[in-house]
Amino acid sequence: MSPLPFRRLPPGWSLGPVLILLGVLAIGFAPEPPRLGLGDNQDPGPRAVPLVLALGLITGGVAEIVKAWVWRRRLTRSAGAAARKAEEDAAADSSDAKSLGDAAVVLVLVVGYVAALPWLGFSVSTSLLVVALLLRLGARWMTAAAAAVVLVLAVRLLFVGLFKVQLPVGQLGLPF
Amino acid sequence: MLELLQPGVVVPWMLAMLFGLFVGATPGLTATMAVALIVPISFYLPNPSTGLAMIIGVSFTAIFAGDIPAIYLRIPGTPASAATTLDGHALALQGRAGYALALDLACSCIGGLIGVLLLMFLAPQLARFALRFSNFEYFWLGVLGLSLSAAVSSGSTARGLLAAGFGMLLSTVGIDMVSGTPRFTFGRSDLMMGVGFIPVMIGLFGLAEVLRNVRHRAALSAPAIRTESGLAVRECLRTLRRRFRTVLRGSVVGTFTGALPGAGADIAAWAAYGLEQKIAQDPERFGQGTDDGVIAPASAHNGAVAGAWIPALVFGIPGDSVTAIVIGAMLMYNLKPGPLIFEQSGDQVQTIFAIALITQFLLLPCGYLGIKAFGTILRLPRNLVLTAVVVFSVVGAFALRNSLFDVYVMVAFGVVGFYLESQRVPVAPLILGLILGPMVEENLRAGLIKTGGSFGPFLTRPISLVLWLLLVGSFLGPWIARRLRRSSRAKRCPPAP
Repeated sequence: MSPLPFRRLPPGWSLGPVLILLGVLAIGFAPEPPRLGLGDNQDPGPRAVPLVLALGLITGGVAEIVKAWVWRRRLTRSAGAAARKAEEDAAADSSDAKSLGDAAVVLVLVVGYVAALPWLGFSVSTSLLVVALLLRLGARWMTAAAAAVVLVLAVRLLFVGLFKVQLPVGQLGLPF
Repeated sequence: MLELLQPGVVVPWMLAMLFGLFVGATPGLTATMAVALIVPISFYLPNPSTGLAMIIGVSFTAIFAGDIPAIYLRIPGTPASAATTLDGHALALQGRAGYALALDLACSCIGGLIGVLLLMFLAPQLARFALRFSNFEYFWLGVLGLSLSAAVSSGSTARGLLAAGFGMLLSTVGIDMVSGTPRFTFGRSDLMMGVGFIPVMIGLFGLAEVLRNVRHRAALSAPAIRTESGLAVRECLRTLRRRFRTVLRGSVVGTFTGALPGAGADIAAWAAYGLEQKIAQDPERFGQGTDDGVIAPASAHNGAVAGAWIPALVFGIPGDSVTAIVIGAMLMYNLKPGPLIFEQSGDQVQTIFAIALITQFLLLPCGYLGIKAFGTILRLPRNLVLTAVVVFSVVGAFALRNSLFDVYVMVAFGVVGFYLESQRVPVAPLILGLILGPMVEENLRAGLIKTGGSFGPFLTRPISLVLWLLLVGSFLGPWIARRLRRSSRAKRCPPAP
């Protein structure tokens, strides 16, 4: 019986390590002055509740890892079913990787947009984001440009005109 | 009553309700914000009844309006609409957005109506009961709310609890209210007041949804939601006749929950949703687009708005942030909330009740207009709508405090939401953990300080006892019921030899 490829882990397999990491970080970075740490039952300090929660997350993380391990063992034992499922999973994994790439590109565009806001101002950076995002999502040039104008105007009318929100003006010195 | 139906009152009242509808339906802008924005405008009006009508109208309308983007886009307009996203959006994905919204609107009106009637008849008794709650009871109330949200979310309850724990951990970021110690702030002033609830909510429900959607390229040029031409009013009326008990239960649960100070429309909606799922014969249908999953939270959140008025009117204790602003406005109108208000300002109290009642009927045409306006926008291709959601998410997160840091928080939680859903972890309990975390922690610590470190009163005080037994029951009940069902099935059909 050959060992199963690593990717064939149950949905949620990475959750365990992530939860443990989160718990450990929470314990490490809890409150700044250690003298006000845990306190006691009579007066629990600021660190008490975060510590309990962090330990809960670590326990949950360990439970998730055990669950993933048990799932893998069960699958290894039922070899016929495992082989069939391995093929299905491999196909699903490859399409997942492609679509994850799409989500990553959108995320990079959004982060770039937020970073550009203080420099380019709301109107310019939003227009650029809308055009780039729509082109990436399969829209035509004309649609993307029209959408950029309409969206910028709508947001300005609503947030600046009605709610008096100060949107970032940027460093370019543009009047909009 | 007739004075309230004059055009000079009704016109600004309805305009204010349309404004509430607009703010409530805009993700990132809350019902509290809508009320806060309308209060200064209401003071420019010559008749105090008109001002009160505008404020009360906005509070009910904005809470309903949060359900419109929740159903269409899976982005709750206000925190109270988070529970509606589960089944409301599932119905929208089946091409039944119009039906879900009509049902939601009708239930919001009925919930508000029942809530106002309960407010009128039961106010003093209910408020007195809520006042018996001390730290011990509030602690259990918070824990019960958290566990309920984990239990009712789709997917594993254990993962729901982990999400709630993560949310609670997030709520500890900032200055500790008891000792004044900064926690997890890393010296950043942006984090001193804690992680903003609104950016987290927009990230988890808005940006994460966009990231999930862009993975399905083929569907991006199609309309965002298949909307019917009408609101399926007849079908909705038939459902209401059939499920009227659910509406009643949701409204009553909502009103009672809303009457507990600190427990607002969001907790009320979850409580009603959880109750319906627990007593349903087919609980697995919840989250798949069941009618009860829309009826219960919709009737509960507007019932809770009325419920929050109970302690506000009778004792001057705000039931939630909206009524906190309303109390301030009432004081400016020379109305002093408290036990004596019924004697000293009986007429004004009757006016408030009448306004709240009429608001429920005005909500029908206003809500209809809002749904129609929003539905037109959503006939656009999905890629356009997703792009608009990104822009509105960024601006919504920014608008609250004019802070780019909040926008980065929103983006970070967009990624967190995307990851958690890919790992089949429900995100709703995370939100509730963030809301209820401070309530649980502060009451636990204050209770322990009071008792000199003893956990006894947490377990033995009568209301505490009922609450923690409910908590245990909420976990053991379904398990015992499953075991009983399995054993009775085994008895009926013994295994073949």
